[in-house]
Amino acid sequence: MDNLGDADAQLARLKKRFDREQRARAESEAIAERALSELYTKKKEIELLQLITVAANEASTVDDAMRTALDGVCAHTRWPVGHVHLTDPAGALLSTKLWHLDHPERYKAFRDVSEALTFAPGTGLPGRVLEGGKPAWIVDVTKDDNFPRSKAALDCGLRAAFAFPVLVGDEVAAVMEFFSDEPAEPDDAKLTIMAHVGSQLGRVIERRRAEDALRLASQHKSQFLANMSHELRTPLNAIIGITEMLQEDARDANREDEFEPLDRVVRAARHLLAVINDILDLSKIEAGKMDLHVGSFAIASVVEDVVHTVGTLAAKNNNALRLECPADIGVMSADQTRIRQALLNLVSNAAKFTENGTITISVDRAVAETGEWIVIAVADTGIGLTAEQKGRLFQDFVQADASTTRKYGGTGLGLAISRRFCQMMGGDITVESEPGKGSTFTIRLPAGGTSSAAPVQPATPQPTPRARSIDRAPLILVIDDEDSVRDVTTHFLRREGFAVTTANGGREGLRLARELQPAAITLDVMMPDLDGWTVLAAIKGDPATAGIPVVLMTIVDEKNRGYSLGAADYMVKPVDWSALAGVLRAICQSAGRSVLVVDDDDTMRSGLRRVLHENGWQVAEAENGRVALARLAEARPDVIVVDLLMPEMDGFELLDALRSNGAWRDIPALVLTAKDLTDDDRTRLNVGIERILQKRDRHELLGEVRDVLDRCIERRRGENVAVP
Amino acid sequence: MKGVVFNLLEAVVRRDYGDDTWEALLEAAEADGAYTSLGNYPDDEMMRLVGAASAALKLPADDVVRWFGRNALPLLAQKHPNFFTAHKSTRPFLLTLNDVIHSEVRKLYPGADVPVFTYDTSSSDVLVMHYSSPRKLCALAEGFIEATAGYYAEEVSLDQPECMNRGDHRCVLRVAVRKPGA
Repeated sequence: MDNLGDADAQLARLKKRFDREQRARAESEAIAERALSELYTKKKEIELLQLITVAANEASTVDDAMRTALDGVCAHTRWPVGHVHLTDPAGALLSTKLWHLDHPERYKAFRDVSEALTFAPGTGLPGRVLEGGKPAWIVDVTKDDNFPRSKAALDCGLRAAFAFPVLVGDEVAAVMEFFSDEPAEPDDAKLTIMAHVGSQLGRVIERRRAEDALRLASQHKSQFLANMSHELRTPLNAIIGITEMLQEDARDANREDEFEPLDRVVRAARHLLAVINDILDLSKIEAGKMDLHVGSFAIASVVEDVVHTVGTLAAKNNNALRLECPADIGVMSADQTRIRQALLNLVSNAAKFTENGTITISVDRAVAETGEWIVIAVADTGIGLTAEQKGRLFQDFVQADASTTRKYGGTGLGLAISRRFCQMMGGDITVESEPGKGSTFTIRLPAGGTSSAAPVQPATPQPTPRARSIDRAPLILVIDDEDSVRDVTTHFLRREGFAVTTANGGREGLRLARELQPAAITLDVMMPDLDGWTVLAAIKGDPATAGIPVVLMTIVDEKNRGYSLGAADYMVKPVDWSALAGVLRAICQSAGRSVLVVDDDDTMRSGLRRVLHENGWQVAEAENGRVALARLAEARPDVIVVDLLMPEMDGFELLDALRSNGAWRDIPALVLTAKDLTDDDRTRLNVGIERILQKRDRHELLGEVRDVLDRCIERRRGENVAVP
Repeated sequence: MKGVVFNLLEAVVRRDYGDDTWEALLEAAEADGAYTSLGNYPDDEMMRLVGAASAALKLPADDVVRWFGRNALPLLAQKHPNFFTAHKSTRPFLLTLNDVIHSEVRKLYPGADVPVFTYDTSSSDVLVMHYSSPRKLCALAEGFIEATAGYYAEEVSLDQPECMNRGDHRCVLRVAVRKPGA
C-alpha cells in the first residue's frame, strides 16, 4: 500500500516536472523564434541602410538617390506608397513627382491630391515633420484630424502613415512619407532606421549644394569676364572703327596733317585692346577654352606682314630690321592668327629691348625624324638676359625683372601666351641669350601642311575691282545694336562694292531678312532685344531665310557654337574689314552655285554638305562613281568634289568618264583622297583637276574645300567677264 | 533575472538535496518552476526561493546565497572553461569580470542585468572590489569568488568593510588570495 502510494506520489511528481519541462521548452522555442525574427529584421535594416548609403555616395543626382530610397523603404516595410516633398525657399513643402507606387492606377487620386498641395509647417503629416524635424507616425490617416488628404486616402484605401525628415544639419531639406493599406501601431525601431535614411539622404543634398555653389561661382566668374570684355571692347571698337573712317577720309582728301594724329589714336586704342585681349586669352587658355583654327597659309606673307607692322617701333629705337626668308619657304598648316600674334610679340619685344642695333628674323624649314618643322628665329643685339632672368621669362605676369615693366611697359603676358599657343600647336618657343650681347627667341612649329613651294593663297588680299558691279551689287544686311558698328560696317562694305541695309536689333533684323532676302547677313551676338544666337537660330529655322548665309560678328569667341548653329563664318571684333569683304564676296559668288560631292564616307559627305550649304552652295551627293554619273545626268553641277577610293566605281574611273564626255569635260573637279598618290596616280589625274587635297583633319579639310571652290568660281567668273 | 540562474540553483539543489527538496522549495516559494535559460523571471521569485531554502535549512539567507555561488561556479567553469583556463590565478580572473566575462554573458543572454564592479588595485595583496546593485547579492559574489579561488587551488580570505545589506550605499569586498604554503 505504502509502496503503491510512493509510486503514485513519484508519478505525480514526475508528471509535474514533465509539465514544467514542456513549458520551459515551449518558452525557449518562443524566445529563439523571437530572436531569429529580430535578427532577420536587423539584417533587413542593415541591407536598407547599405542600399541608401551606396545610393547616397554613387547616385549622380539627388532625385536618383531619393528614388532609390523610396523603393528601398517600400520594399523594406512592404508598404505600397512612398513620396517626397521638397522644402521651398519660402519654408513650405512642395510636392514632387517622386513616388513609389505599387499600383499607380489604384493610388492615382491620392497622387493627384498630394501633388496639388503644399504643406506649411505643422500642416498635415509632412508639415508636422517639417516643424518638428523628427519622424512622425499616424496609426490611421482617415481618422486623423490633421491630415488634409484623408478623403483621397480613404478612397484609395490608404491607412497608416509615417514620415521622416531629410536633414541637412538642422534644416529639413525634404520630407519622405510612406503609406500602408492597413492601420498600424507606431514602430519606434522602424522610425529610428528611417531617421538614419533621412540623414544619409541629407548628405547627398549637402554635397549637391556644395557642387552647385562651386559651379555657380565659376559661371559667375566666366560671365563676369565675358561681360567685362564686352564692356571694354565695345567702346574701343567704336573708337578704332570711327577713327579709321576719319583716316580714310583724310587720306582720300589728301589731308596728311590729320592722318598722323588719327593714326596715334588708332594705335593707342589698339594697344589697349591688345592688353585686354592678352588677359582674356590667358584666362581662356587657363580654363582650357581656347580654340585653335588651323588652316594652311603662306609663311612668307605672315612674316612679312609682322615685320612691316613692327617697322615703326624698330625705327623709333634706331634699330635695323632684317628678314631672312627663302623665297620657296612655302606654306604651313597651323593657326595663322596665333602664329602672327606670337611672332609679333617676339619681334616687338626685340625692338623694345634693343637700341641702335639689329633685329634679324630668319625663317627656315627643317626636316627632322619627327617630321618637317618651321623654325622662325628672332635675334636681337639688345640688353640680353641673365640665366636667372631666362628662368622666369615664360611665367605669367613676369618680365625679366620688375624694373623692366616700368621702363618698357607691357603686361608681361605676351611671352607666356605666345609660348602656350605654340605648345598648343605642337611646337614651342625657346630662348638663348647673353647679357649685354642680345637674345635669340626661336619659334619651332610642325609644318603640318604640304611643303609645296607654290603659295596657295595670294600673299596679300587682292584689291577688289570696283568693276565687279557689272552685276547688281549684292545686298548685305547688317544686324547690330551699336550705332557706331553699323555706321563703320556700312562704310567699309560699301567701299568694297556691296549694297548695305542695317537693322538695329534682332527683331528688325529678322523682319528685314524675310522681306529683303539679302545675299548675306552680318550678325552681332550680344544685343539687348534678342541675342545673336537666338536670331541665328530663328533665321536657320525659317524656310524663308534658312538659305541666307550668316556671318557672326562678335567679341565673344565661341566659334564652335556659331558653326553648330549654322553660321557660315565667324569674325571676332575688331573686324578685319578686308577679311570680312573676302568672306562676303565668296558667299555671294557661290550663292546658287551647285556642287556634286562624291564620297563613300557619310561623315565626310554630310560635313561638306553642311559647310558648303552654309556658304550658299546647292549640294548634291553620291556615294560612288556610278551614282555620281546618274546625278550628273540629272543636273550638271558647277563643280565636282570627288574621293578617289570608293566601292563599285572609284574616283579614277569617274574622272575618266567625265573627260570622255563632251558635256562634262570642263566641269572642274576637286580631288579628296586619303591615298598616298603614286607618280602614276598623279599622271592619271593630271588633266582637269582643280586641286588634290589630302584627307587629314576633317575640320581643316572642310575649310580648304570651301576656299578652293570659292576661288575656282571666282576665276571662272573672271573668265566669263573677260570673254562675254 | 535570467533563467540560467534559476537553472543553476535547481541543478545544485537537486544534486545536493534531492528532487523532493526542489519540489518542496518551489511549493513553499509558490514559484512556477518552468525556467528556460534564455527567459527572464522576476527577481522576487529568486528571493522567495532563497527565503524558502533559508527556512527549510534554518540558515541565514546570505549563507544560502553564498552556498549557491560556491556550488554554481564549478558548473559554469565546466560549461565555459575558456574564461578560466585563460588565467593562472584568482586575481587576474576577477579583474576580467567587467570587460570579458560579463560582456560575454550579455552576448549569450541579451538583456542580462549583470553588475559592474570597480576595482582598487593599489595593494598587491588585497584586491578591493566595489559592488553596487539593487539586488544586493554581494553574498553570491562572495560565493563565486571563494569557488574561483578553489578552482585555481588558492586560499582566499574575504571581508566586507561596507555592505548594502548593512545600510551602506555600496558593498566593498576585500579579497586576499594566497597560494597554499606561500
